[in-house]
Amino acid sequence: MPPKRVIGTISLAGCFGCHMSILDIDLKFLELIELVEFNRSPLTDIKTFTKHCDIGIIEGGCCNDENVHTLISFRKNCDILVSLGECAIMGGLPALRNKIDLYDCLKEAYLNVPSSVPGNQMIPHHPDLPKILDRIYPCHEIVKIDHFIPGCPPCDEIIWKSLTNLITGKSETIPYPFLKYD
Amino acid sequence: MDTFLPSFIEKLVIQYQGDKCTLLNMLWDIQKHFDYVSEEAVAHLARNLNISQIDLQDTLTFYHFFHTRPAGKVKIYLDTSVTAVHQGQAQVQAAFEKELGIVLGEVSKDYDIGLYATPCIGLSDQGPACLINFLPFTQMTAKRAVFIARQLKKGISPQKLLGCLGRKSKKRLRQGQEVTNLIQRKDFLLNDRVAGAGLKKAMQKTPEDIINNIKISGLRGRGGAGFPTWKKWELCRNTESDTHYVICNADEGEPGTFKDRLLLTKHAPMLFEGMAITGRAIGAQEGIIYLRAEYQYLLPRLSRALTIFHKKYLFRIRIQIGAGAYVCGEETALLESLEGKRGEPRIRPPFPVESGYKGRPTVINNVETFCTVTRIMEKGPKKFCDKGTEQSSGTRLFSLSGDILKPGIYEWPFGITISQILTEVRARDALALQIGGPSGTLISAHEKERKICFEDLATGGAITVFSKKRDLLQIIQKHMEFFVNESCGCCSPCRAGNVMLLEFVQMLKDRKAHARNLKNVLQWCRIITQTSRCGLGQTSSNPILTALKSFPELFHNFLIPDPKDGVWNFDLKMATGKYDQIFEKNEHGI
Repeated sequence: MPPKRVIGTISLAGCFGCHMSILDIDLKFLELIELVEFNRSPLTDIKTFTKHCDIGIIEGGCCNDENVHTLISFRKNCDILVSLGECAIMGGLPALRNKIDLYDCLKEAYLNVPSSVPGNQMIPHHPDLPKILDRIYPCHEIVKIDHFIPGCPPCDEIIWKSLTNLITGKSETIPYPFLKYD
Repeated sequence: MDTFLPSFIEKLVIQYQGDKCTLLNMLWDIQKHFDYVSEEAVAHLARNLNISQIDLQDTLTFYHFFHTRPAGKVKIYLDTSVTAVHQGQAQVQAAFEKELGIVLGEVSKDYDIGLYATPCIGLSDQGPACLINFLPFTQMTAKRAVFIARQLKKGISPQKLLGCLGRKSKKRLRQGQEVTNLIQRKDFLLNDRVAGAGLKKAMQKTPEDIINNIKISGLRGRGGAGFPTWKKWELCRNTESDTHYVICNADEGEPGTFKDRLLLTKHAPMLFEGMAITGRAIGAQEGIIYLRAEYQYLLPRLSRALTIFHKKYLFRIRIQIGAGAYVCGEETALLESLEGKRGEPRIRPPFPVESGYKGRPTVINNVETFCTVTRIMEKGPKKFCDKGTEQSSGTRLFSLSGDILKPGIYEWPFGITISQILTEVRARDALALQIGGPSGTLISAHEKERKICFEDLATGGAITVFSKKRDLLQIIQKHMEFFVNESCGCCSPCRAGNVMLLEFVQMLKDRKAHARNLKNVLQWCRIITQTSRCGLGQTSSNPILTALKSFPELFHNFLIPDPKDGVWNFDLKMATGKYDQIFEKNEHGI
């Protein structure tokens, strides 16, 4: 039996929906874990890479400096990087703020909201907190991305087909209806 | 004036019988009287036509030549095509700007003169050129611009300035005419013609015979796509309907093309005959010529020729003026525009031969195609297909401009090689040739054996020669700017994609493009080409794609190599700069 492939996954500025969609492959997970092992991933709760990975799956774009560092570490520790879903590919929903000035955006979120406590208003800011970037960056603007899987979220079929293609080296085409979202 | 406006519009609508298809004419009339189409005018017109204001604005704002804000009594439109730029358009623009005290795109309030940019106006062989109130002024120089601007400021009408070179110079342009149609080579189409002979012979034939004759001749559409003319006609003829239409596409908008201008100026009867022959072949009694707005100055002459034609023949032709939109050269966009709507291409099928103008089967051909039809009928199809190559029979007209000693119109048989062309037009130090305008092919002058024909280099008839002193990247950039401006915005690949391609060319020019950007752009080119709705988007990547083929070093020499580890040099400090700034003064960020 060939050695198991190693996979890492991460959710950056995403909603974890793409990870939920990975879980949607359901019983096929039993087949999957025969072929692969998961290293750094929210699924394993491994926080730092313990070995070099074959495939890295990225959900979400980059909205803060920590996202950028994480993404770079994925690039350095994985042979193949895959942008999974709209946010990783284009910035997605978070990128709606790209046309709004950062200060205006934070002011609206923390100072002008009805739920803010008068006299105790502040924009969260601490050396331990990540710094917010001026806009959302899609992953391929920061590191080299080898493959893109579109969808919001991509359905389990596409994820399954793409993963098996990557693992087995085959290139089975994905039927058009799975890629059509409107 | 405002009190006058409602009654003016009321009369206008009565004059056009409230026909929404004539919306473009109504808007032109309003603009001619009031210098621009104001919000009130839109409101009144919408009420009188019983359509919503938004629908009206939808059409109004689509066209470059309709102004929705005060635009000046005198409107100067400068040709900003790449050929004009090479001919010294910048100096002319600067002279106008200085004299009028405005920049391009503004209106001088003191003198009520507006200065605007417009892509190619069909005068590349005698540029830099401009249109002043739609009258053509050619061979402009900074001096002439100053002279004209001063006269206009004095209130002298542009009409009186036609042909005047300057204050001191008593010399006028040749015969006092601005536009000269230099024919450098004649052949099948332009050689001596017997007026009326083509149509007379066609009238003696059955419609099937006419179509068969065109089939034997092997004539393919001269607009650029090269669809067999006979097939188009037959398909249209076979579609049952109470009415069929013949439409002439005289929206010659491809930068660098001006051969239809010659045909419309000198050979209008030949065009009318061709349309009537087509009418007989497909069973149509009515024809429409869609004339680009830039050629409005030809209208009086065309109308006179048409009156004479109508006295002799029953076939009815009318002329519709466009309003400045390159995409209207696409046949289905042209139909939309003819019906008084935004010139957005339709989804095909159905093709116009099945459902075209007002839903009726329609044949749409280029000016040159109709003229060629007349000659084929006159001389017989054999004489035509003796010339040319196997799949591209006959001769065609070419508009030659750029860095050559003999610009003008040439009629060559298909299959002519680049080396023959360069010798005949007396090119100086040729570096590259743009075959068929921005949407065509950019080739190197070294590719001497390549042939102009549908088998090799297809073209709508424009050939622009660039010498070694020209910056090819600037040319590609100008062409991409053209597509960005002319995309109708209907489909995303074309609307957004072309902007990305233009950004790439700008990055490349500034030496900021990385190898990965090129790879990315090539992927976008594929998407734009394959998924755009009409020919505009399907060919808009050509400036980049064809230049990459002929001049790969142009791209590869300037690209910055990508880091090997796949981590791009992302400027994190810049990206977090704004965030840091917020907390510089106050730690709570208030």
